Amino acid sequence: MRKSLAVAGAALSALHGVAHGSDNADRNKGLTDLAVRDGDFSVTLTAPLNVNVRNMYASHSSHSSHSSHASHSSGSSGIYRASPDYTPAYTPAYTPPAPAPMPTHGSPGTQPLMPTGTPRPNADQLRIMIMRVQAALYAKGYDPGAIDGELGESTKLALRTFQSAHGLVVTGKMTTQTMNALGVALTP
Amino acid sequence: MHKLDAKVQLSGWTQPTLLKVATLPEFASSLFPLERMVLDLRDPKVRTASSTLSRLPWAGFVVDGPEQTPAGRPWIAIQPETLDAQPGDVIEVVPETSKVAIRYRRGANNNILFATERCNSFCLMCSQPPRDIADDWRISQICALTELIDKNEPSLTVTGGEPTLLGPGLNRIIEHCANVLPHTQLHVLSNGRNFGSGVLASSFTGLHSALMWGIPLYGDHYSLHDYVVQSAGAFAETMRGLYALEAAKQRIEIRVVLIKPVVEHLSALVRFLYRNLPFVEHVALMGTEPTGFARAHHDEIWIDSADMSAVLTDSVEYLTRRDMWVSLYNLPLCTLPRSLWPYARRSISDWKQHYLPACESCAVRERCGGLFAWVTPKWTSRALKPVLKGEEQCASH
Repeated sequence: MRKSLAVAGAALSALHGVAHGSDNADRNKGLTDLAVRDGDFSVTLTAPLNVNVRNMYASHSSHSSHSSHASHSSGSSGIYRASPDYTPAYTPAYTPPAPAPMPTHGSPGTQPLMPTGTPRPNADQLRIMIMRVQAALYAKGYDPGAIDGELGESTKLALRTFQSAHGLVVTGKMTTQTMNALGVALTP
Repeated sequence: MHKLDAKVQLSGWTQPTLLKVATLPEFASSLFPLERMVLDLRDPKVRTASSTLSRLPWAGFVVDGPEQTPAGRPWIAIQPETLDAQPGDVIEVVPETSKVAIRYRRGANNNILFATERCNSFCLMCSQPPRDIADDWRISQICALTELIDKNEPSLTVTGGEPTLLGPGLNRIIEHCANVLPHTQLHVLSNGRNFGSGVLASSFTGLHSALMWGIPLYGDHYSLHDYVVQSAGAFAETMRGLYALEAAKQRIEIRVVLIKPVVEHLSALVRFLYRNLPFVEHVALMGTEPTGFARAHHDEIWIDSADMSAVLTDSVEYLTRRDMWVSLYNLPLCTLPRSLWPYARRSISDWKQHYLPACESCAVRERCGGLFAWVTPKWTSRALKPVLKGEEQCASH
């Protein structure tokens, strides 16, 4: 599409330039400039950041509801303390979550709590993803309270304000739409 | 013009390392591993949030001065007047020499991947004189660099030296770019001589979805081309290479440096291009960069762009009438006839782009590519003068 625009622009500018001497120089220039930006033969990144990525963070609403946080001091002003043996969560742990296999056997009567195939993030993954969201909010002028990896009230309020300002569904959660708008990739 | 490297104060580094300069958006994006980023504590917003952020496993920190540094962590002190390293840039820290070099500049118009210093041609006007050294280490360095480049970077240029001298290493680089920067147009500048056999050319088929080869051709006759590149047999090799690339479904740009002997036969060259290489996608007619070998050969190669008007007009018209896309690079607007302005591009890399004092009052300065920073009076067109307000629209009618 962009390429065809460049070709059209080039052809038009050539036509104008050659057939009518230097009349319509402005128009030529406009067209040519358009084409030139294409003429670099560049490709535009049109796809959103997160496409066909399972968002295992979207359903997370509050740190206190998450059992893996039990050992952490809670409270919205809690500051994240990196434990000395902290392992970065984005290394192997962050590789695109492999879909959980469909259960081939087992009692047909049990209802899974979460839809199958949506793994839950571990505590470190979750904490650092919340920090990323907080950093993005803060960088864009919204106040998440602190960049502490805790999805507290201030952060949820900042998320809601951001979502509302960007015409997104207001959930206060880390939906894929919201992550795209914030520029946070769900996978490395 | 910006400096691309500088001596700085640093501590905690043990070996040369490529690092992405990160502020909050780079952290948020999660596209780059923390261990390969330096957190930029010079940014006030980062400083506000640094108490928790700085505990993450960053490779180190960029600071205004040592007092800002979190205890026991590697740091680099970069003042804006020393080096213009910005968030998103990729820097290389070299502890041995206490130097920091910028290897990728976010938003720059022409980021390059420097493939090799070796070359099999010795062009009269070479701006990057070759050295016969073993620099295959650059292959893995380039691959590491591309991993830290912004994913929405529109284009990168692989240059040298002659990149095909890396052998399969060039394929590795291009394939790696296709993987880590799938949306980035790749432009590889090669003399095309090594493609003659066809085997090499076909090894690039389907390797990258947005790859273009920039190949120079300096004459419609072997003697002129071989003279310009100072290599007997080069014309035949490059012509065979161009056909091999075409057969391998590669996109091709022809690059013509406008030195005196080439300009004298330019009309014949563009006719040769149309008749023999009609498949090329773009023809770039380029002013000389006055550095490297060019400086030693001033008398042989210099021609004032004011004296090229007629032949440039003829050549551009000839090609555009035949639907061949043509651009003029490195030529200031004031030295060109108005009818050619639409073809002139702001082609000089911004870090080495320069304007003269005379350009201050020019009405079209913002549209003009300016000059190379190393231009001297004997490399400056006599036609150089500010275009006055009111003159900028097609004075000819």
